[in-house]
Amino acid sequence: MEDIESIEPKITKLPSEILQQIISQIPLKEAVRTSILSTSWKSLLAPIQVQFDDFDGKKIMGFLLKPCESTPEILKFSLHVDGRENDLVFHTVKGGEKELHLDFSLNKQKKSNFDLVLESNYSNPHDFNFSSIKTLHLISVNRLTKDLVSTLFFNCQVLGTLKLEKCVGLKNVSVKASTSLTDFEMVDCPNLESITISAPNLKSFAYRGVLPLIQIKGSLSLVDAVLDLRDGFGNKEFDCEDVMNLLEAFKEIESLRISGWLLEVCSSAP
Amino acid sequence: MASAPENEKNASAPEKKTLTLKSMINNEEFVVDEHVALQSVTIKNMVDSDCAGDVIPVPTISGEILALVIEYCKNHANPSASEDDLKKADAGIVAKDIYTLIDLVLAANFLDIKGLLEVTSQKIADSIKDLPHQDVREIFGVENDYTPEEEAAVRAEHDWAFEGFP
Repeated sequence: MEDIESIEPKITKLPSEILQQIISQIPLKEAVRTSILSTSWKSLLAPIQVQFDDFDGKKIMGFLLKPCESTPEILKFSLHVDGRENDLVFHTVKGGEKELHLDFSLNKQKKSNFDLVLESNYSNPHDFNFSSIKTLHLISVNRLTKDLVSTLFFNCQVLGTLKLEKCVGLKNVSVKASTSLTDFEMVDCPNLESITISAPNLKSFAYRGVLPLIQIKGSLSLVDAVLDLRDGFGNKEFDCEDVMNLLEAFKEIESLRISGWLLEVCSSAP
Repeated sequence: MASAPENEKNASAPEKKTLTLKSMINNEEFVVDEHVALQSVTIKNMVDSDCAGDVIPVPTISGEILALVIEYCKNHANPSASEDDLKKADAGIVAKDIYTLIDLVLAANFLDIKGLLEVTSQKIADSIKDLPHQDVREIFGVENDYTPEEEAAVRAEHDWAFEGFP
């Protein structure tokens, strides 16, 4: 008893296995936040270190899709990437089998431009790499990790929510999702020029950042859209016709929230 | 032959074997049907290995908490209770303040009653998830032992989870 108390003097009442049980029943985001309560709470969510000597997409995918032993589960990947100056390091947070967050922002690699293609394996739903992930959150995807992300998305046949965040260098993103995808969100990708999304059962589309070209194909159930264009036009020329095409994409929906300046610009145009 | 199980059913409570659970905190005693008490793996192990006398002493659990535990076990020992009934009954048992819940989860852990452990920790999780962190620290007796720099580093590790968090 004395030993246990000297290791964890701060947790006076509950043993760590009960605290872990409680944390596992908190929604993932709030659960991850408990790590700033104290160092002892952070140790309840200690990351599992995963190291590879090479960039083996298959092996990484195995780790990402493996059901976790406890939840939330934090994996810290360190990969030695051939011919690059730095190793690739990234964090993954799994919430049970349903939720996966990939954060590549630890990488100090140069930000070069890239396009991202995400296609779900809808033609062959019984492929061996089936994953039950419902929510996929991708942060700071870069040129080096875009193929990994594409492969991951390919295996998420029942994905319901996709969020892309802070992908510097991402110019064009194309998403072809299965019927399960209902929520798409993209925020703070400063170099973005276009989004093409095809998702038959998409209900909610949320965007924040510079004004891109947006094409939404065949999403008849779309009811809610948010376009927060706080970062303006970005680097490109835009004319009102593009804006009209953009609005055309949202003409059937029930609720559209859009930054005011866009409408002002268009209504004042000749 | 067909009437045999019928008889067993009718000859219910009086002939059933009972156990007495005694809280060692306030010496309160509870007489419980054995099959109710056996939902506790800890008690079952004691009974199976013949370690249990007529009165089973339960250390560190107060009578108030033990009564809740027994209520849970009774509900779940009732074969005619529907899943809905049990859910409602469970919700009633865990509709308590956070400190009672912490005692209850410790009791469920000690007595090894998986279902009670789960519903109680779920209730604790629901109660604390939206609380300010200082309140959570107080509830669990935790002190913030980070330097501001360390705390910033921990936040930076999982930036996405702290967006908009004070």
